[in-house]
Amino acid sequence: MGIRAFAFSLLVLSLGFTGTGQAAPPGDFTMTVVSEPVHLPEEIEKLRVDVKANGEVILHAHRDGAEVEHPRRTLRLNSAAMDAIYAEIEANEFFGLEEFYGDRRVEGGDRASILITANGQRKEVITVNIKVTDFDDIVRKLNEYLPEGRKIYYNALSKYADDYLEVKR
Amino acid sequence: MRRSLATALALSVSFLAPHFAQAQMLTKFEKEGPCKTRITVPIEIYGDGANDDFAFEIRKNVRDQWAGPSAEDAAAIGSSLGLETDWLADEDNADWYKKYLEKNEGAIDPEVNQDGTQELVDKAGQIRGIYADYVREFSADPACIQGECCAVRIVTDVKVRKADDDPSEGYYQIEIVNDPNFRSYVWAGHKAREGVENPDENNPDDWQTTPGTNGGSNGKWANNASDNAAAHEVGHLMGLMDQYKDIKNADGDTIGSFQQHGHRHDIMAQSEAFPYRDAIGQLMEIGGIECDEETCCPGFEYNRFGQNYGVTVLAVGDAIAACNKPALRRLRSQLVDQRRNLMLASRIPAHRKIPLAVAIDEKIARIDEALKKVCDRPVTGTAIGEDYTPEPIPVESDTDSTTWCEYGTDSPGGGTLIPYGGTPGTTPGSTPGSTPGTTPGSTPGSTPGSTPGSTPGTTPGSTPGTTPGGRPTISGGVPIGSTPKDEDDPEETTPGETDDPTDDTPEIPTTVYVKAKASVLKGDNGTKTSEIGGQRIKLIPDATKNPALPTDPGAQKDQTGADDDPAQCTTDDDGECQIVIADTRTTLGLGLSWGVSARYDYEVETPQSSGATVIGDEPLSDADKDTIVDELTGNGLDGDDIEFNNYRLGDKWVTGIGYGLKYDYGDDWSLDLGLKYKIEPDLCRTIQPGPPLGSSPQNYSAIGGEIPGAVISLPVPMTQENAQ
Repeated sequence: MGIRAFAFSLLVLSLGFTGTGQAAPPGDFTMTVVSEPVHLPEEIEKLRVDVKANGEVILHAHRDGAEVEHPRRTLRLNSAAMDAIYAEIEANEFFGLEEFYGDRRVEGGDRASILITANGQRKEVITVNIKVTDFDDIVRKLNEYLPEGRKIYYNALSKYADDYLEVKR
Repeated sequence: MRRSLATALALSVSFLAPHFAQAQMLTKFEKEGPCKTRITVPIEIYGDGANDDFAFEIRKNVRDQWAGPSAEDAAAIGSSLGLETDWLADEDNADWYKKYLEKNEGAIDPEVNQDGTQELVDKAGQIRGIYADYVREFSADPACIQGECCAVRIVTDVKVRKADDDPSEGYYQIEIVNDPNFRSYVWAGHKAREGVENPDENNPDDWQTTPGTNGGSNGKWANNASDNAAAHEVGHLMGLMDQYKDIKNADGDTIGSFQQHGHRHDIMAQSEAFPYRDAIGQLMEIGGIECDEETCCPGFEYNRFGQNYGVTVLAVGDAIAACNKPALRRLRSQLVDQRRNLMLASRIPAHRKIPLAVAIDEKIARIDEALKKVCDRPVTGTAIGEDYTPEPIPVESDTDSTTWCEYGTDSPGGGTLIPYGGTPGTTPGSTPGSTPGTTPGSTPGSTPGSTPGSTPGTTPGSTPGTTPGGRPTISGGVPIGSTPKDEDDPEETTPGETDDPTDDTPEIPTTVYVKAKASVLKGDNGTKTSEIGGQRIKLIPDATKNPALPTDPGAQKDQTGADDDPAQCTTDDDGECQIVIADTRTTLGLGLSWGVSARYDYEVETPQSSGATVIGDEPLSDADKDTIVDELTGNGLDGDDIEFNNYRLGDKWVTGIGYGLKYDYGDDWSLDLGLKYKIEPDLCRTIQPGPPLGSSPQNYSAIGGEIPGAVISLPVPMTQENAQ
């Protein structure tokens, strides 16, 4: 076995360890994603999802714009899902994002926030009526693993927000 | 890179300049009358969620939200429903954000901003309904919202545009998004409001929006009729700002944008809320409409109403605490009068009247509740040494007191009542105020029997204190003593067994002996009493105190005695006098069942708690309170006796000040204190007789100043029979 073959074997082995080839979230990992109208909503109009390192996800009770009330619900993501989410966070360099993005030309609308703790770091990023690609991609990745009707939504993710200011990060 | 260029661009979008070259205010501001402005917001809706039904919903939503109560009105009504209204109180924003950040260690937690009350949100519909009732009662325009002085009617002109049609000129273009989860918004720039110099970037009240367009659209709204978003967005289209402000981190970077403190239930901060009255004024400014206060609010003396109410409400609290039924009834009557006069006052805007009416109604309800429940218990009659339940008869005595006022803390069940002759076996003619059985005639000029023809004890068989087996009874023959009579007691005489004097006894003059005392409540709830000389004591028929209103054709009140001269006397230096009653006995409710007089020892409840009232735009500051306390304690008052009581009346704050200084301390003592708002001491002598009922008073200071100012209730009448 040549050096090249050995290296490939190591790579395969490492992928086997993680299952996905992605780094697992650290033990102190937590993520909270919140979305709410800028017009100060009642608590029940706020969307909130808490994610823990062990894959536990808490979908908080809320009422959506169609007046449908959703009860609090807990589910557990498998390690592959958790790895994919954490990989998205790393890929978008979440801890390098600004703390706040907004377009003050918009009166009303909504805001979204992500609060992440990992490896002893803690950071919250807020976006208000603006598309921030690296931020939005993290939420989109999380939404891939959330059940229909319980995904996080805010205007910047909507097809209707085609007139929003858009920045990468 | 600490901050990307894109982010910097986003953050550079500030309040400081309009951002849309094509920004145009299409909202129309028109004067509809001398005191009324009409604001029309033209809106054309299009998109996959636009239809006639939603156009109707927009019109309805704006009408519902902008023609109802202001936040201040809602707070007043909410308070009367027992809801917390702290959400209306302004707090220094710098302090608030400092606390906010300290509480959250610098992190953002939107939940912290939920400093309103869910209860208010839950009861918003009820509050609007109650307000509508008041609007009808006070003949206000239900389609308007009341500003400080002038009313504003806000309407929308909404039409639907088909996809292929061109936008209509002069209409805001709003795309209706067929997604109920979409959060509605409008495009807007900002500029400093006219006349505001050096606008504060973090104070929305210094700025106004300038509706803008982006790609031909003025904004996008969700087709969700339930979230009141249209009413909020229309606020922007009229030029109002969101009531938010930025939150910055230690580096000065904006890290959030949250609602302006004190605007928790502002329609410009969230959806289930009310317009603030300031916003109405701003709208008129934006539209260049002036409200002529000389025309629309002439002779505006709302403060006088507030002061009268403030004085009364303090006494209500005392009376409820003391379970003082007579005082409560008296105060209830005062409040009803204040309520009626408020309604009749034609020159006070409805928005001023309504919160005060709400407050008065709430206090009346509290009194009714107290009368029904809290105070419904027997009290001890000090005169006869037995428990009895007083049933005050419909007669009140008034004094032309120069001291303020009834103040509602006379002893439970009314003034101390001592029948002439006192307990069985005592001798008629004992000195008023002395204990039963004291030597008759010891006090010159006050000895029963000194008045010919009215001397107690001169009527055979009816001398107080000498009828065997007699028991005190309430007028009408109800036994006063709580101890059931022993039917085997041969000496006991029941009312039915006693010869009814009305059958065969001619009405004769009767002397009511009076001793007037001032009782002053001390801080330890003890009392100190002293005789009051120069007090005119009057017995006034109920018909005089509570006449039937001419506007109430169904009233069947008895007017007997209303035109009679009052039975009265003036107390001497010992606080004593006599009232000779002849043919007015019946109308005074004294009954005819006793041929001789009993003696009544009144405790005229004069100022237990003299006080003052301050009305201002905010509660009395701690610094001003300290100044007042220093002033009062410097004049010998115990600081523990000084109480402050803040409450809201509409958009005004009333601070009641309770203290125990003598009435003659002066009514201008506050002038030298340099306080922001004038202190108006509660002084009876400033109150004059009120106007004729049904008329609009020329002088509001007259309102609430019935003749005379001080009133005490005459409790259970003693009879010859029941005095035993």
